[in-house]
Amino acid sequence: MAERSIYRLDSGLVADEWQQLGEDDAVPAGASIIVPLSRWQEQAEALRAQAGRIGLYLPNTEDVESLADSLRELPLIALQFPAFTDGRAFSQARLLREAVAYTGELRACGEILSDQLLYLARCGFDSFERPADAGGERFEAALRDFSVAYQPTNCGPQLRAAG
Amino acid sequence: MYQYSEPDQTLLNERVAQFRGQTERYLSGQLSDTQFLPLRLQNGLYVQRFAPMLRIAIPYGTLSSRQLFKLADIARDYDKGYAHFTTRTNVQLNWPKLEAVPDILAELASVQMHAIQTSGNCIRNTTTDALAGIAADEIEDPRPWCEIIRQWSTFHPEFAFLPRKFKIAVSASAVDRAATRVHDIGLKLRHDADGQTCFDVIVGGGLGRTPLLGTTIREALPWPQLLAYLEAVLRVYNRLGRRDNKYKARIKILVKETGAQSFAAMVEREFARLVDGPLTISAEKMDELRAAFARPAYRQDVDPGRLEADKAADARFALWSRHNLRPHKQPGHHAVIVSLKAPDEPPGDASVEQMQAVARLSEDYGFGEIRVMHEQNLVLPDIADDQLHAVWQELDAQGLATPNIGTISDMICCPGLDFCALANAGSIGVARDLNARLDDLDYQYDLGELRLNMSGCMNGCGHHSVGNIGILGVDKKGEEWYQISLGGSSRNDAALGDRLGAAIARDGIVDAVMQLLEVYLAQRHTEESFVETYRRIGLAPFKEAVYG
Repeated sequence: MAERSIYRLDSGLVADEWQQLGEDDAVPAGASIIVPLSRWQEQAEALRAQAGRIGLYLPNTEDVESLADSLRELPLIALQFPAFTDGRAFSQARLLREAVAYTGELRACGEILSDQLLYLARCGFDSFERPADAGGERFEAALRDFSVAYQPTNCGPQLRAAG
Repeated sequence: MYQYSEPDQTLLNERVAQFRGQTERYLSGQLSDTQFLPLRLQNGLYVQRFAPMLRIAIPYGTLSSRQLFKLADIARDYDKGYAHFTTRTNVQLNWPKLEAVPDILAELASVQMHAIQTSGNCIRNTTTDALAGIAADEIEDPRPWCEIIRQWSTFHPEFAFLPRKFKIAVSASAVDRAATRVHDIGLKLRHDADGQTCFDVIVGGGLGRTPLLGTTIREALPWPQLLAYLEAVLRVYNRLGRRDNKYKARIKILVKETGAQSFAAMVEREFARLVDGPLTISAEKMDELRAAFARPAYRQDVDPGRLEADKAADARFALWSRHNLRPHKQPGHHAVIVSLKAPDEPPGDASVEQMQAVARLSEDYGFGEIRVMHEQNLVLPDIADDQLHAVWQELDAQGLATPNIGTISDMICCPGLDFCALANAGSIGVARDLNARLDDLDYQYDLGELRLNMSGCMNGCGHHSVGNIGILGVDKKGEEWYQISLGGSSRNDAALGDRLGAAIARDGIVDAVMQLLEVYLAQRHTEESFVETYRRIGLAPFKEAVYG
């Protein structure tokens, strides 16, 4: 398996310890795996028996509140950005953090731009697939683009309040 | 007006630095066109027909003299010596160079201005009544509320990539001068039975391709919960608004397809969680913002007889006074409407000299404040009656005193095919030709209050759908044609215009408008406005006159 790196707010650019599995991929024993919601809903018991830790991919059309009870205890949820202009997962993230009280890792996957990183962090994401336009140092810089903000948020860098 | 705090200014400076970096990465090829697009759009930068167009925000249409002087400097140094005021009370430069835009933004930031969220699929500039703080029928000054919405919506981390653009308008007077029923959200401020400020929330109105009037989904929203409720509406929209078709992506389509009642229920469910949360507005915050918009120290020694005497002595001044002044809460004062609708100029355009003159007048005779109207005129809000004649003389010398406010030649008009990459047809040329035919002012006055709105394409920047007479430019096999609608209004009697009939060729459009006017003059009852006559007699007589 090719090693992929991801960016984590707490530890920077690191090797991804999670393996992404599709609907039919075999489960490596004891591994940390991310599976599509549909597979998890059908095979939860079997997956638990084989894998170490299980995380979920959620489509950005999913109503996270209706799944609240099953999502709350997961160690990782990966939300999707099919295009960087499709901002639905920003709201899913805030709902997960604020309405579901989800405390596990929240990962932004798909097409994201480095200029969205601070918004993502403030909505509750704490790990990111590498944006198409960013080298490692751009992550750090993009997260420091702003030191103040108007909106109160419980997540991400705590910025000074403007207004 | 509101003055930036130190953190406000820091935020703006950081934005300029960020956009400078983005522009550099784009120019050096690290960002593709597609990747740069949403970034430049959220900085108001469009790629236009001849050059990039930069749209600068004028929050709720309020400008200081210092800001207007700066806009004049920028138009002189970075553009061709003029700027265009828009129906969203913003101002557009049509000829800046892309590589100069970071410098322009830095200049703007030095006077607390920016181009943040003036385009792109995000929350745009909040608009309100240009006569805020002045109008006698005002329940409360809407600007503190607009400012708090500005702050909440600026770089909102959750709502920067919405399905489509999002526009909010606030009205706080008996007469709706903010067109609240044709906005994504319209807020109508009123006082509840206990005298407390509250808001009726209208959702799902809009112009453009599918014009719709909004529906009230919440009555008497208590003021401390205004932002929590807005956040709830935006969250429902961000999650459920259509993204498969940009022409169906505005909230109006979601509200229509869901049904206003079901939509309201979804918002209430979201709101129930947010209510009394961190977005709750405190009394201290509102006191602070209200203080920022406190009424200035008006002169108490205004000569009460002077205005009438000046009018009696100068017929041109008297004529202008009748059409271009608006009543003021403060005795002995008027609001002066500065007409950007001279017959031979593109509607809404102002030259460097004109901007400087208006800024200077606001300092010499007012309190250094200027307003932008969504009808694309400027306002000097606080002029004492005994100085009106002096102000008029200076405006007249600058070509800013055309006595036509509220008349047919005070038309709303987008830049059209002459500048805009989206346009299907020219609008400025039609405006000019129409003005040439309407050159008799008495004829215009006889027509009374008549709102003519013109857009060069169905995106509707010229608000044609809510014009008493609406003109929409369409492309027919490479030729410019024009679709007329009648009976629209954005006021309390808000209505969308009815389509008159088949589109009319460029060489026939001015004749067609003149024929409509003749029908009105022949059929009107005493004191009846164009739109009232239309509502009484219907489309048929107008149709008959134009199409025979």
